[in-house]
Amino acid sequence: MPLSQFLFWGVPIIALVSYCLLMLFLVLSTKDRYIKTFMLVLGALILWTASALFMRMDLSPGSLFWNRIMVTGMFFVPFLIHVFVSVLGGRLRKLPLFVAGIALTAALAANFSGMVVQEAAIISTPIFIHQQPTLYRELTYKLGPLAIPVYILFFLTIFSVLVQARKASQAGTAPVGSIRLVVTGTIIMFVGVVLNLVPMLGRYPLDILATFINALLLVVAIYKYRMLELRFMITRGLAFFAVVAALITVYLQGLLWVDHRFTLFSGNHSTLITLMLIMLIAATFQPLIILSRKVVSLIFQKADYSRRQALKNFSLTISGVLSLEKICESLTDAVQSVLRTRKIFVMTYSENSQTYDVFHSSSHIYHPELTLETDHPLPVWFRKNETSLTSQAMKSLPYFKSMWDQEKRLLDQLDIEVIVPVKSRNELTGMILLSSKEDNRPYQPDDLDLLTYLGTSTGVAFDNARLYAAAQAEAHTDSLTKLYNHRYFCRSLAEQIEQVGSGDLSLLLIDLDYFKLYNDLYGHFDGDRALQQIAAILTRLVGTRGIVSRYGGEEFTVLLPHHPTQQAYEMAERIRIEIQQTFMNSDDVTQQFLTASIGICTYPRSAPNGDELLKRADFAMYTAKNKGKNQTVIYTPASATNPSSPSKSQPGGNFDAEPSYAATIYALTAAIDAKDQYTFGHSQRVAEYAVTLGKSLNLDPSHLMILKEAALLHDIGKIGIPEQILNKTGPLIRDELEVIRKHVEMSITIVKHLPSLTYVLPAVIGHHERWDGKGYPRGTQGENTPLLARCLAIADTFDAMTSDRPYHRGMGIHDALHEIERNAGTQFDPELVVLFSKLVKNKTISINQNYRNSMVG
Amino acid sequence: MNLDRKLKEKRYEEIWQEYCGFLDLTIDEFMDIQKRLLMEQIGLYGNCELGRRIMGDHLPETVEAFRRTVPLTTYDNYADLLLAKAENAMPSKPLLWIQTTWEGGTNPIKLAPYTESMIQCHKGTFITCMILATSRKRGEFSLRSGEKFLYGMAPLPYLTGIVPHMISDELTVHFLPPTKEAEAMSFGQRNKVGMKMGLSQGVDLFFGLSSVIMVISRLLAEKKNSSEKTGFWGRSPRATFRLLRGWLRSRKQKRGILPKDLWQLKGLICAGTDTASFKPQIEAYWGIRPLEIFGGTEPTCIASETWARDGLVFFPDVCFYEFIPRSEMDRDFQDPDYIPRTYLMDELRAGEEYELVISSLKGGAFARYRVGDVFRCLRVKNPEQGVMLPHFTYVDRDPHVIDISGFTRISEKTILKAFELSRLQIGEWFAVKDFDEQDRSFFHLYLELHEESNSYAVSREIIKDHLAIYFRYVDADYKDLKALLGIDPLVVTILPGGTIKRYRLKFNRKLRRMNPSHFDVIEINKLANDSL
Repeated sequence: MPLSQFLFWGVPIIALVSYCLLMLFLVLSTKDRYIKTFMLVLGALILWTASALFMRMDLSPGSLFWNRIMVTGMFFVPFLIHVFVSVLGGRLRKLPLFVAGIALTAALAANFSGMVVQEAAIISTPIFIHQQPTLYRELTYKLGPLAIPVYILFFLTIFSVLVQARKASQAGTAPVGSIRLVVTGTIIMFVGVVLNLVPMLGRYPLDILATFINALLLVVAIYKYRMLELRFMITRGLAFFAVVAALITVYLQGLLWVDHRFTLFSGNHSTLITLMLIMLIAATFQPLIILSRKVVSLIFQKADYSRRQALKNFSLTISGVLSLEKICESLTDAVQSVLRTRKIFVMTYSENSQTYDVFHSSSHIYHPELTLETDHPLPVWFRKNETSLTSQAMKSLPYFKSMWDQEKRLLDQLDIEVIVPVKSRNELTGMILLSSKEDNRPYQPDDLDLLTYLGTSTGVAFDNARLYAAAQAEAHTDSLTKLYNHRYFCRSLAEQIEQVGSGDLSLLLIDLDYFKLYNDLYGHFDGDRALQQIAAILTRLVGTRGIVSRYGGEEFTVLLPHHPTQQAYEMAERIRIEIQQTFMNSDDVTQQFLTASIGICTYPRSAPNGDELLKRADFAMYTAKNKGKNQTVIYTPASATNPSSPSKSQPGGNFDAEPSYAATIYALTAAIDAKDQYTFGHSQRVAEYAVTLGKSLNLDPSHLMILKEAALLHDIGKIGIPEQILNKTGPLIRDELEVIRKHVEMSITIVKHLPSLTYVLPAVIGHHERWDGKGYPRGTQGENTPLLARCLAIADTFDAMTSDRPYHRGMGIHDALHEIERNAGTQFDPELVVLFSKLVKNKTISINQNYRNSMVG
Repeated sequence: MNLDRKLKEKRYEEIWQEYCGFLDLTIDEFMDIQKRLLMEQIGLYGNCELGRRIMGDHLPETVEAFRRTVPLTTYDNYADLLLAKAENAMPSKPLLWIQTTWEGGTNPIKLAPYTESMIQCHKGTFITCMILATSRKRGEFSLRSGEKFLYGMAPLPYLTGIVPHMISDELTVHFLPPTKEAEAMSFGQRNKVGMKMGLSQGVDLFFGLSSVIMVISRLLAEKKNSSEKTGFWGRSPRATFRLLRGWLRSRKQKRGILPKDLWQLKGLICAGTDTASFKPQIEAYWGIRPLEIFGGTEPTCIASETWARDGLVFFPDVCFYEFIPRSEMDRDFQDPDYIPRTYLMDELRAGEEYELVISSLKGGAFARYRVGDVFRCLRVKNPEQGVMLPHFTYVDRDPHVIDISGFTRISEKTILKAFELSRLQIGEWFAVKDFDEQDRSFFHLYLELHEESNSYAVSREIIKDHLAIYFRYVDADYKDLKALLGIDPLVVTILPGGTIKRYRLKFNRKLRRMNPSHFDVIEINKLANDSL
């Protein structure tokens, strides 16, 4: 086909098909005012092009009619482009539009009255191409008297488009790039129409070609500057339709070609052969159609497919996983495979610290230190909102004005572009932080939808994992101290032995000294609190370097992998000193005696296996106890062979074995007797009375011993009280009474420096407590005061009443006993009073009052 | 993505949300932002010498503790460190030091440090003002890239000079005249050249002190009307066209030519004392309702009217605001040892007047600083416009200072200094801010001459001229009032000797020297008339 004929037919056909397809897309798309105006332009273009084609085809009612329709379309196009550019620039003015509308109407009237084009016809001339006869068609026309004014009007309208575009560009109301394209397209259209006026060229559809180029530029302008999202307009069905239409054209062309060749070859052919040829070609094309369907599906579903695949994989993974780490891994994998995000951080809520911390990072080497408090604007926002948040939204939402500069900087440094809430049952359990994509393209709304969905799925998985972890932790955790329990310790010991291989694994076995007494003295509530304090100390000091467990009762273990003995010893000493200082610094002076004895053994140097490690650490710990408590002992094979092998010490049990204790006690008693001459022998007598009372209570010998020692030492604190107060003859004023009362605390201060005698403390501390809780120093009530202290209280008061004091003479035994009985149930244990009274009355407790008084006197 | 790009991409909703979205906040959300940012500032403040000086060594842990423990401050509390530009003593490193005059201070100027974060924030608030200036309805505005901005404000190191520099990376604005040239010009020259350029290029936005806009408008109208027949020649074709069009418009209305005939502004921003009295006239001249904003060197730009132009709304993230009610201010005035109580934005009552107390945020220098400006709370919310934040109108400076048209601030110290230099034998006196029939403010000085003085022979006008010379000497801005605005700011009334003493005896109270109440002035006048 000669070029002239291709232009004659091809240009209008291609332009018309393209316009129609584009119109179809626009009809199906979501329309805004830009699209609506552009559709009007497109409608005029279709009118222009279709009528030009029909004119060339010489369709009924004839070329002249179609020519006039074509001219109508031609007039409408610049007018509507003018409107489009005005809308684009936001400068749609009514007056110019009205004037242009009047001119357009006049032009149309001139056109249909035959004043623009008087004649138009298609002349067909037979010519030979490759010796084949072909009809050569040409358009001829004759312009009317108003053609030139109307064309001037047409060019003025085009000029107005250019002016309008320039204004919009200057005002910045329309994107410069899109305006440039509009201007270029309009100039091309102008040139095309001008060329069409030249009779030599006017026979070819150069105006249609120019207009087609103009339309293409308009489409580019619209697409490039985001006025239309063409990607969303083209549906899969339409694309498939276009591909199939193209295939059918090729198919028909192929059919005609084969048919033509066959005819040339065989001279003629029957209908049967034609049908067979059709079948054959159809069969050949069928796979192509199937292939095209697949290709189109693949192209249009590519994004959806990879999304679905990633979601499927993620759902499958998390449904069977209860490990938070693994859930996070599959989450980051899913997000990265779909969105190609550079970095992903998963933050989870920590109930201990009540913060959101980075739990997982997509990078193996980079784990940022990012912590968000619960009152940080991000968690607060996500608690109220469900959707993902972009960095742009964070900048524009006024709510985030409360973010600190430092917080903003941190998110900027991490290049965070999107934050996704992870919620379960309306609770924010975490957040997913995404950096920019690898291709730097912004996140699209469908990306955010996907992320929000992933966030919700992750929330449920997190919840399950958390519940599982909580159940697991509960099974391994000691409910009181929140440390690992005995069971977990045993399991860890075996695991660590395996893991350290030939490395060192040290075990610290920690036993609290006098904890039973502590419990007896202060009750189990305070005892439990002390254990919690110890647990906190251990957790803080050991940190992530080891595994801290409560082995049982007041025994704790610390497993220190890769810690040789010396390092373990240093750790043990830090623990021991910290415990001692914590209780020494206690506000309550009466509690300042809790210490720890620690045994250390190291695998494999000093123990061949886990069992032996535990046994030998235990041995070392008892050695520490026997050496006087509050110390650390390292297990060595030599100490194991020492015949003085450890045995559990009993309170008071050391008294006979260690006569030096007795000497210490008598020395201290003598000191106080020397200081307070009026109470000379008081401690001895109190000891006698108390022990007699204790015996009648059937106390075992060890407790009787404690009672005796406590009685001897109960007033030892008076050493620190000025003599003028101790020996004052007149009644004591309030301040002096306060000083006297301090003697109990002073007693404790003195006794606690004698570690071997600390077992007497409970009785010493409590000897001024009252049954009704009004005593001192602790104000304990009833049986909360230890039994030995209650015995001591009666014995002490009885002797004080029956002895001469600086401020009064000693009472008679009967009167004293009466006074004791009168205070039964208020000051004294009523049962003990009955017993004591009986003992005095039946002379089991013998009192030599005269002797005492003469001694005093 | 900067604002230019967003405008080109027609992201108008996003832009509105980013810059004007604070107008959607509830008062609780507003307070949350305030309190959280104050906690950030306390942290910064606690780490610097200035902060420790003001707050003490113990860092307040809550907003309430901050308000309880930190005293109310004035510039004197900061002067030594700020005037010495002691960067290391500041909460954050300053990027700029902004200057203003310190009326009645120990130094002619005050300096305030501006951190990068403060400048960023200031940029945002000023763009918000530009958007609101071109807005007549919530969510709709006509600000675009490349606007021609007639900027009638002082250059750096004054606060207003920062604007052209800071917004250039965000929004293309053609300042008339261009910033570089403008900075080399005097104030009057700048306005003249700007107007001339505006005549040929057009003007989209205009920002100036209300008093200056008024004077420019008046001069412009007078000049154009006097030269309308010959003024078309010797100008650029565009300027000629504009003048011609303006002339035709004014003829059509059968009146003289006005600025609104020459330009159709998209937005007009005004600020400064007495704005309320100037606004109707400005609107009449320019055919557009001006948008009032409020700012100052220490607080930066902190409030703007909305599209409805019905009261100032404070920005939530510029400063932490506290308010001293009028009753507390008066009590403080009477008893300098009294510590006035302050209230927060969510505790205010409509109709009450409050003195503003600010604490800088984002690393700024001031804590519980008495700016010296008084506002009236018009309403605590405006449901009609959908703005649930308090609206204010600017009342005046606090009574210690007399501010004339935002140009000069006369304090008791300034007056005493002028008296001293003039060597006039002035006895008792007091000064008030008054308004003439055209609602222009002036400074009214009532004085008694010493009995032994021979100045009785001197007329009131001579004393006034004499004092005016010394006011010009002690207050650098005073002379601008006459030169730039054509305002004669001083009116002197000579009271018969002993009038003020008689007032004291009659009412058994001292008369305030600066801005005594309107009723006290009436009583004084009565007493003066009685003695004549």
